[in-house]
Amino acid sequence: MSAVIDFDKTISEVLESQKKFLNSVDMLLNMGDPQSDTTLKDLIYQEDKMKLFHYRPRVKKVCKTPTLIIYALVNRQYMMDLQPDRSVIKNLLESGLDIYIIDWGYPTAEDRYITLDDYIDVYIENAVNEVLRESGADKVNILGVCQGGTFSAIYTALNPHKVKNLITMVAPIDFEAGAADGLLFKWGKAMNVDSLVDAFGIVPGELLNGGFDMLKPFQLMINKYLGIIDNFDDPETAANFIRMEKWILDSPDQAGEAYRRFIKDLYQENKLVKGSLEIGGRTVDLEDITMPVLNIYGEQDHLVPPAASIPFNDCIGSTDKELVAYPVGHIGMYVSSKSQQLLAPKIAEWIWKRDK
Amino acid sequence: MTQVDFFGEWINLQQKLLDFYQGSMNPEPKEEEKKNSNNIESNMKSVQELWQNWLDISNQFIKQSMKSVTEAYPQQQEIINKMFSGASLYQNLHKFWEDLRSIKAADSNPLEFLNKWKEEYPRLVADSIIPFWPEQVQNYYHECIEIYNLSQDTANKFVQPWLSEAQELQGLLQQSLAGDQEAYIEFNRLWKEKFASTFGKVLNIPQFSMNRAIMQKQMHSINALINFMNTIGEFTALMVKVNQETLQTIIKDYQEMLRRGANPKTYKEFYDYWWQTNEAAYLKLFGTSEFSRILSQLLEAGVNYKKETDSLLEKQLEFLPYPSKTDMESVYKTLDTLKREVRTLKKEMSALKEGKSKSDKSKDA
Repeated sequence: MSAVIDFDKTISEVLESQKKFLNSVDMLLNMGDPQSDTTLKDLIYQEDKMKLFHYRPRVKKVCKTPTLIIYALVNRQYMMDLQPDRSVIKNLLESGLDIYIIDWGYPTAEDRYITLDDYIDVYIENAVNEVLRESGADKVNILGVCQGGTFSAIYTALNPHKVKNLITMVAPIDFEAGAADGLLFKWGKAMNVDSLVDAFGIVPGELLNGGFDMLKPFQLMINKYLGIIDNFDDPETAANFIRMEKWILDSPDQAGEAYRRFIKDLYQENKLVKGSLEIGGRTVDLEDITMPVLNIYGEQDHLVPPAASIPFNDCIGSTDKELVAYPVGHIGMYVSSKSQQLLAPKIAEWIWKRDK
Repeated sequence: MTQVDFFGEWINLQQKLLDFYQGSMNPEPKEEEKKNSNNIESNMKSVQELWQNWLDISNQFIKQSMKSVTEAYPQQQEIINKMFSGASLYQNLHKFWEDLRSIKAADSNPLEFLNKWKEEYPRLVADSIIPFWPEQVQNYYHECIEIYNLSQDTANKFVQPWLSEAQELQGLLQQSLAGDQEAYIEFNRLWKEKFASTFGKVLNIPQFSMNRAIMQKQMHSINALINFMNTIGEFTALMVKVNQETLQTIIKDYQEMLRRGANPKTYKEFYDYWWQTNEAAYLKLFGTSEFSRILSQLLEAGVNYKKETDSLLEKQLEFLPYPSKTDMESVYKTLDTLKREVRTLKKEMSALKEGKSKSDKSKDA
């Protein structure tokens, strides 16, 4: 019969943990503030809190159609450029893409009346026009990420003449299907968003973060912080942990009216897929998306389950459409070594093929 | 009716009275009574019945007789009515006395007596004594009785939700104290429901007077806080229940692993087993519609409390020389409207400019 407890191993593990813990403290004391969002870029347009940046090219031969990245409102866009050695943006630039990105900023009390229509018909519309003006192109490629993917799909369906290619990444489209596996989708359906918005005006990002942590309570609230001791002997790993932690907790507050409609029309009524979503008095018909579409999702995504992203390709009118899955989670899509080797090269290759 | 007719009728009634008197004083004993002729209780009962019968019949007889009199002399009707009321009181009070004496018996139910006479007694007094009072006093009396009934009714309505479930609440509380998580959740739910239909209503009652607004806001915020705390209790109970169940599962599984020699060999292995088991249990709970419901309730109770407290704070601090959140929201709204107008005007201007430059170009050509 095997021993009930391996005391030698247990004691050595405990001692090792104590050593690692002390080393971690030493590491933190001497670490400084690890930076993200370091790839060079220029501010070319600003409207209210929204800023439009143009990344400086890193190669001579640049794709003639500019690519505009539209990120989610719930976290910051620099996730695409989190660490210098694992930057989706940097990889895309090195592949020759001409990259623009929208930074939504941090809404404050005065922004509570900004609507979903404003995000689509004013901010994205003006950003696209600015990219077209600056680049001299007549169409843009749009790369929509997470909630930004939903916005991109809506904008493209309403303005197909301005979009050459559409790429959606971990984007929720079918909110009803997402509710089968996704806790956020389930909870969103039951939530009284009117009370929330009426009480806060600007919905606090911390509140939403609490919801995200509950999706994996022990992993995200306990285990993650215990686990860092094991990895803090390497300065680069420690710095990356701090960068990620900073990004996760950097959750902007949400403009109340836009948030209200996003939850009601999409999470609760799934209007985008049903074809009944209205923006600026126009009905959004996904069938109007007829340009090439690349739809990318993470097989282990717990924030936007695959079931919410996959149906997009069946809703659109495009004939040139591709569905790509990577064996990663939502965040792993941007920073995991797997996706670093696969994601940016795939996007660049797909766009280049269609850049004629 | 003439004097002669009346006299004839009177003789006739006297005759009936004699017949009745004879009959009532010598009743034919029933079969059962014949058998129990030596039983004191039975004999006493027959005397009581005899008395009651005599009273009933006399009353009936007098009523019949007086009917003729009142028809003949309508102006005396009020006096006769009062006479009857007195007789009626006497007779009804006798019924009360009879019932009161009967509760001494071993098989009698005092509560039944109390419930019966709780309603009957005021009516007895009201029907028998009130008619002797002047009309105005009678009206006052009726008003008072009505107020009393209303207050009784209101008090009953208030305590009824608690009384109706008191036993269930007590039972659930006992089970909760014994560690039954399900019972605690149910207790919490039931308590919340009862509170909302009683004290919650009191806290939401419209206020009056000069300080009406602030008092009302205070009451509402207290109610919102209690509701929020109750909902937190319900939410926490649900979480603790999973915690307890998972602990039991871990203990059971660990024993089984020990038996098979497959237990975690180090603390680190045990820790991994522990958090993974817990996480799986909580994710199972989070996926249920019950959890979505309670989470939504918790959020709503929390934001409602915030709304009520914000509103109270604004009211309390309104004398300070600073704009409140509500003031600022109004400014933001105006700003938003103006911004939209500027945007539209800009678009129109640029369209006009574009049109003008096109027309200039065509002129040049």
